[in-house]
Amino acid sequence: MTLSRRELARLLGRSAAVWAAWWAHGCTSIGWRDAPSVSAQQAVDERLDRTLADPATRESSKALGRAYLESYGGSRDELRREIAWAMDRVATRTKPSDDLFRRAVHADFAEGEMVETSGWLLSHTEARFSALVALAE
Amino acid sequence: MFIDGRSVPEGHLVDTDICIIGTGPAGITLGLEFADLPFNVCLLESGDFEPRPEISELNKGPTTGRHGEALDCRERCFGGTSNHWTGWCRPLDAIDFDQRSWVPHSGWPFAKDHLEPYYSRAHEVLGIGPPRFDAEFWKHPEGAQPLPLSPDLVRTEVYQIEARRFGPVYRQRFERASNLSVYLHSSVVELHGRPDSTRVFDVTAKTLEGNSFRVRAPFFILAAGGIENPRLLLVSRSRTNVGLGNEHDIVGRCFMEHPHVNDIGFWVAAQSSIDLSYYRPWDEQEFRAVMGMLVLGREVAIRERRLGFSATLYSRPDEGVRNPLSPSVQRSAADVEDLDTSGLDGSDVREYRCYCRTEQTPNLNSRILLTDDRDALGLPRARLHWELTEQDVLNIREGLRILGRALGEAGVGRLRMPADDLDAGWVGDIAGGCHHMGTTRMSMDPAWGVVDANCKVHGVGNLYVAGSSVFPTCGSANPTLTIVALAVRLADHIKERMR
Ligand SMILES: Cc1cc2nc3c(=O)[nH]c(=O)nc-3n(C[C@H](O)[C@H](O)[C@H](O)COP(=O)(O)OP(=O)(O)OC[C@H]3O[C@@H](n4cnc5c(N)ncnc54)[C@H](O)[C@@H]3O)c2cc1C
Repeated sequence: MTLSRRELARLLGRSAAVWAAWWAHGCTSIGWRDAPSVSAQQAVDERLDRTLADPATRESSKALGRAYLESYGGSRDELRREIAWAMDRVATRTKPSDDLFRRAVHADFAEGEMVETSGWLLSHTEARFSALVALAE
Repeated sequence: MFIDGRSVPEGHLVDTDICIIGTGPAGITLGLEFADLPFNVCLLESGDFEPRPEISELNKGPTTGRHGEALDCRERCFGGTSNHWTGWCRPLDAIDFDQRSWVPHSGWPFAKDHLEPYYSRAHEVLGIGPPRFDAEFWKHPEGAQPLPLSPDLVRTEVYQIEARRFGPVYRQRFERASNLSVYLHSSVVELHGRPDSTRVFDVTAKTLEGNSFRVRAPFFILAAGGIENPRLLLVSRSRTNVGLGNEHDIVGRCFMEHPHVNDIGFWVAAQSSIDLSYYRPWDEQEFRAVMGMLVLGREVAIRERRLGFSATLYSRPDEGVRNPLSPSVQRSAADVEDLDTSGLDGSDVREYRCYCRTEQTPNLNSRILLTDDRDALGLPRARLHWELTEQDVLNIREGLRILGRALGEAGVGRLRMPADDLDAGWVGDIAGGCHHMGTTRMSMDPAWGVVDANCKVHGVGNLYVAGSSVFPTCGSANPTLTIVALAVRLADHIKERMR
């Protein structure tokens, strides 16, 4: 399964939209005082760019992503939703100065949101990000 | 006093107040507790001061089901298997004593609190430090810290390690005690009761030279280890033809081991980012060593209906640097503030290993049986049938999953789970630790237990059992500290009855 650049953009766009809606509906309830400096779209985009730019990173991410996709039981739409949801999660858990992934990954593990991919016990966010990398090609 | 059983005249009758069968940690602890009190104690020991092949041969017997090494790992000599044990000591956890709805036949007749004072006394017998096992108490001499894992999931505790050889250490004490007589080379071959009585009257001891003698006492304590305790009950048929205490066909059943799994892969971001020194033995002045251990949190065990699980992490110096995962994952792991990631260069990923020890569910099919084949003393050999159930294997995987979750949450690393398949290689590699437990289990209900809360055999007024064979469930901690604590407790009970 691959995603065209347009589909990917749509995916990320949707992610940003959900993020924006969420932000508008009271992110202050979890106590962040500052607005995030980057949008979800930018953040995920940046990370994706970084990952794709480095051949070693890209290849290992892709391998993991493919394994995740292979074992994924749902439909293509469900998968897209899941990835979008994961990327929202990255964004919504981010303070301006934080590494996006660290927060989201930490939250995943804290909540038991894990998946076994190629034997490794990964957080859903990191597995889905790898899936995104695999799909992005 | 030590007496060589081979020099006792054929047919001789020894009259004593308490007869203890076996001088491993259980039997020796009982002897120490009775030393110099105003009654006589006779201890019957199969072996000599040192192991001898012709005596060790009495331990041999076939095994079916899992690995065959289990029966050979015991020692027959004064001091028993402590003469070659590793000395890892840790008490059972409070939850191990509870009735857990997800563990069939679980629940000790008392809570851990009740055993606490006996555990304290057991520490003296074993020569270990204060009865504390928490990481707050045990500071590493070089400041190494336990891993910053969420204690709700996995907490760090310690093992105290002192491989005390009970034989050499306590030999003099037994020599000097006014009331202790240890008969060496004296293997008990039968406990005699009568169909019209609820008592054991005497036991027959035999030597490999061919002579035999009897010991008569008001109290008998079986302390011959987790295989021989049920074997002796099963061969003793003068009272009923099913064996002593076996009216409900429970003697020998529910054999448990601690399944050990080694070499589970686990990965961290960088070699320099994780210090596992707390989980390696470090020297203590008073005794040999202390070593950190990861243990499942009580809450998560209850919530997720898990059995006992403990693990250590270690690095293998021969292993090169690996990069099994996406560096994106690697970065997220390395970003955690608490860990020193200065050595991280993006590709410097090291693989560490995990070793775990778990609890088994009591299973009626795992059991000690008698064979038609007989040993040199004419006693039917024991056969061990040990099974590992699907639940046991699942418990290992799920314990690892919880550990993996804690490692991920703390940003320490990612765990590689073993295959989710009962036929997988790692399942085949699961081994026991020579911890033989459960074969004369404790229960208030005679239908489900061989001994009662005082370790007295149900339906037999004067026969007690000491050792891990009485454990109804076994937690994940090594058994000997609990064996010794229970022996101290049993000694108090008998002293009370002697008054
Ligand atoms: C290699 C190894 C490492 C271990 N490491 C640890 C550890 O680190 N921590 C831990 O807690 N446990 C450990 N154990 C287990 C530990 O050794 C046992 O739990 C402990 O020795 C049991 O004590 P016991 O007195 O019940 O039985 P035993 O030590 O087995 O003693 C039984 C005694 O009874 C005698 N006997 C048997 N049959 C008869 C008979 N018919 N008549 C007369 N005498 C008889 C035997 O000769 C023996 O002396 C280890 C075991 C092994 C083999």
